[in-house]
Amino acid sequence: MNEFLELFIQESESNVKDFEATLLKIESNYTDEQLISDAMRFAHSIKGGASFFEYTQIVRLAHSLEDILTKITKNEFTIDDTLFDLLLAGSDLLGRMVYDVANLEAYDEESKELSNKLSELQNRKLGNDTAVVANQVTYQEALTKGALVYRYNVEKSNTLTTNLNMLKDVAEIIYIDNDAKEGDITPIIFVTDLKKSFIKALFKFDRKDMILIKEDEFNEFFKGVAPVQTIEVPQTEVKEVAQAPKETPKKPAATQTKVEVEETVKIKVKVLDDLLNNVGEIVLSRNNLSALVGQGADKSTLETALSNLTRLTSQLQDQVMMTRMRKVGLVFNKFPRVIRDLSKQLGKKITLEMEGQDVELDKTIIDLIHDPLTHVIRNSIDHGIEMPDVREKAGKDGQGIVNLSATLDSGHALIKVTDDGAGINADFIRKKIVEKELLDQASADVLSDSQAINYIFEPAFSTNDEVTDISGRGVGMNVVKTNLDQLNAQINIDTEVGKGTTFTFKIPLTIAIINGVIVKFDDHQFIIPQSAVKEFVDVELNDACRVDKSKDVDFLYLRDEIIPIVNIFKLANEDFEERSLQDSKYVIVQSGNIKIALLVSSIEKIEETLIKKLPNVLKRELYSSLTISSLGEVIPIINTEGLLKLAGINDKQTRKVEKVDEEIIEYDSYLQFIIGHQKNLMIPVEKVERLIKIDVNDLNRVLDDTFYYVQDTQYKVIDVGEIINLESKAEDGFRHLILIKGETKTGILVDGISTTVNIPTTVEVQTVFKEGLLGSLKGENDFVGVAIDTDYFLRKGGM
Amino acid sequence: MESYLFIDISDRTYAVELSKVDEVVKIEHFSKIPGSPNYVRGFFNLRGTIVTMIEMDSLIDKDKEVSDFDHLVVLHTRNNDEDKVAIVAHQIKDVYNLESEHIQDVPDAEEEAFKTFVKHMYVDNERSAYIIDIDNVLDLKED
Repeated sequence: MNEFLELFIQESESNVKDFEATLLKIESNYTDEQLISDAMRFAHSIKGGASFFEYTQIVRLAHSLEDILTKITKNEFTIDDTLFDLLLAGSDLLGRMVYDVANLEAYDEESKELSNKLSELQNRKLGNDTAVVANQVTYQEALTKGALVYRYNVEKSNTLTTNLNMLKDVAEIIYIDNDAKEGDITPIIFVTDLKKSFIKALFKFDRKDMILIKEDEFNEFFKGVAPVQTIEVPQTEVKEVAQAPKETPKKPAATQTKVEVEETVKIKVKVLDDLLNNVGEIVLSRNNLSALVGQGADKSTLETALSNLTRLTSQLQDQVMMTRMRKVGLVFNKFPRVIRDLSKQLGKKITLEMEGQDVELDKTIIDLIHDPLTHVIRNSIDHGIEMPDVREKAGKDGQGIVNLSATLDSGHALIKVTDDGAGINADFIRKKIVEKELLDQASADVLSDSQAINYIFEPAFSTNDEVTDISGRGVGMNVVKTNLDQLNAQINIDTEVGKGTTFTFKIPLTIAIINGVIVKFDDHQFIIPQSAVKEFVDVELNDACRVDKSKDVDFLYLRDEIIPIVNIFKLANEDFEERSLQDSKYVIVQSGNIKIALLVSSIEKIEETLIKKLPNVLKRELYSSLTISSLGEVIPIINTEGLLKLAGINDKQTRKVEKVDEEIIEYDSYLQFIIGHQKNLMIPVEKVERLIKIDVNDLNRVLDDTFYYVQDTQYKVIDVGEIINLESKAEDGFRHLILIKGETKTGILVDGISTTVNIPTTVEVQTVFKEGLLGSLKGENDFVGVAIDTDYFLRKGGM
Repeated sequence: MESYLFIDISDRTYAVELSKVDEVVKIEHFSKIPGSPNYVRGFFNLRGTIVTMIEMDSLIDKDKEVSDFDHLVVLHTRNNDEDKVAIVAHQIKDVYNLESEHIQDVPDAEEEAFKTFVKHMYVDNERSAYIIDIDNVLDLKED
């Protein structure tokens, strides 16, 4: 492609962006001539470039935009929302045309129409808008609109027109002389609640020319004035125009080509020079190394040379990363427009505050946070910030605030979107979870508030009953999660009902390289991010842990924790050789508060791994990305959070749902334990707080009671065997203590833990009339277990 | 007239637009990744870029058994952030210039999966081939 054309497109794209940003600034401050001349300059540059390529559609539109901006400064016509809607529509259209210069004909009509509307707008006679009610009103009628009636004698001029437009926002104008000519002194009568000094300060009205009038003066004034017809302001027509560009843009025919532009970046010359120097040094260092190898130098000399090369390489790595750094402002600067358009559309009043636009982040992060941020901000505007009247009723300022900030914090970038809106109601989310059949009522009820709120990231979850342009399809928040997963980022939602919500994205800065643990499962290699790895466990070698097979999830008992075992082959639906869980190696992986034990064949090594994008054909729940190892092999990096989801593990692992004969059976899980010869004693898993293997010598006896200390907490220990007349057969002096969840700090002493069993919730307890026992339960495969009465032991513990 | 690269995959001859081929490579090593769709043979490292290896046979006919391969035809991606994809080929034949008048739609009898990835075929007196729809191969996603 023509390199000038490429340059034109790149420059124009950036000019259009700047043009839009400047327009938004002008909207709130249209007396700033500097801003206006900036905007004109941007439009002019686009026009200049386009005329070189004879892109008439662009030239025409840019010219109209420039033209109308000239007139803003000269105060030749009224400035209102319609004008800015049109200007922004113009900027959008310019952007679209520049992006699609090969098919400009398709935009011909649209650009013509917009240019016409722009010139029509300028032709609106000055003063039309200010022609306010001049109908005869009585003093009393006027007073319904405010407490104070003023008369103001003023010279008719351009400044006055502008001032009157602003005055209309705070006062009701009762009388104005439309026939007055420039320079005439004319009276204006208006009603307002505002004090004289305030009006004076607001509009720089001359104090002595503005007087408060009483009823008789008012009547006196209107005696001589003939009633004048109200002049309609031709606003409706223009409004429609403003919306015209929002129609679906005419799609260019498929056969037409699109001019493709290579993505480019600007790099500081200094950075480039440093890079070149460094590469030069690397070449020298490599030559040195190969010379040494040729001479047959000894190992230590080679190692010195190698370490020099290593240093240079990591320097190069840093420098290359530097060239990829971009300012967050690039993304942030898009949002003033989003806020403006959306708040207008929804009738909400919103101020956008931005901080930290200068924070620099890697290009990948900048590219990937754009969509999530847009969705979160749209969400804040749509769901967060309430309508002005609702806000006022709640005692808040009618003007909502959305705050967008970027900060750097120890290896992470924190990007926050805060709104002072309604907050997220967790109960409402729970209700929706059940309605959308994501969970049943019971499971939804046990979710903590923050767990429930995190469901907004589920695909197809949308709390907005009406699907709007802005949000409600439930797709957006899922995009947030997907994009941020690619960055290994965490999302945190802080919300308080009535106060507002903060979304925090915590993004690791060095996304390109992480420390990874390479593990093997059969012949396949996987990488687990080192930050997620808690420990390695070799069951064969380690007495402290055991494996238990239960109905659908196998558990690893590690010290006092019960950790679900995950087999990645099973999750990937691949065939694998059944292996003994007992003699295997595990990597304990932590994600959030949940731990899983990942079954592996061997643990290879820890390596710095370069993150590569995950191809679309691979499941994002299984892997977060791929890498190329030091040996050149392609290895997947495991997505720890996704694994939990795939394995259906949440931190309430007590209830499991299983499909049998298309009928859903719910199970209660019981922990099966042993005392003496009795091997089928059970306690509901949900009543178990902790399991500890203890040395009986560590028990403290005080008179008749026994206690055990876990850290600083004292637990009363009850020997179940003594209560139900069973003799302990623990031989080596070690027994197990099961701490029970409840009011009192109670632990029961048993000989050993054997497994967990699942018994369908429908099975009824056959009551056993024995102190401390609840009754027997019949499980599958002729298993009969005896459940202990936890309440009994809790009462005992309290005595 | 456009140039096409003819390749053999199992018992069929396919044609790929030459403008959409980056290179043809032989590789020694590739990784199978558990959880990949059946039409993905594996992934390999092409000078620091990870390339997904697509098995046309399995893509078209789900029950097809995989066989040894000789070459990989690395396809040209439309833009940089797209995944790099290569087609597993059993034999590379030659490059021919094909007359567009001999290019025709595949017969209706061909099954749906086939027609997603092979929309046209070339037939003249000397040779015939199924023309692979590269864009649809590049757009493959986890299902």
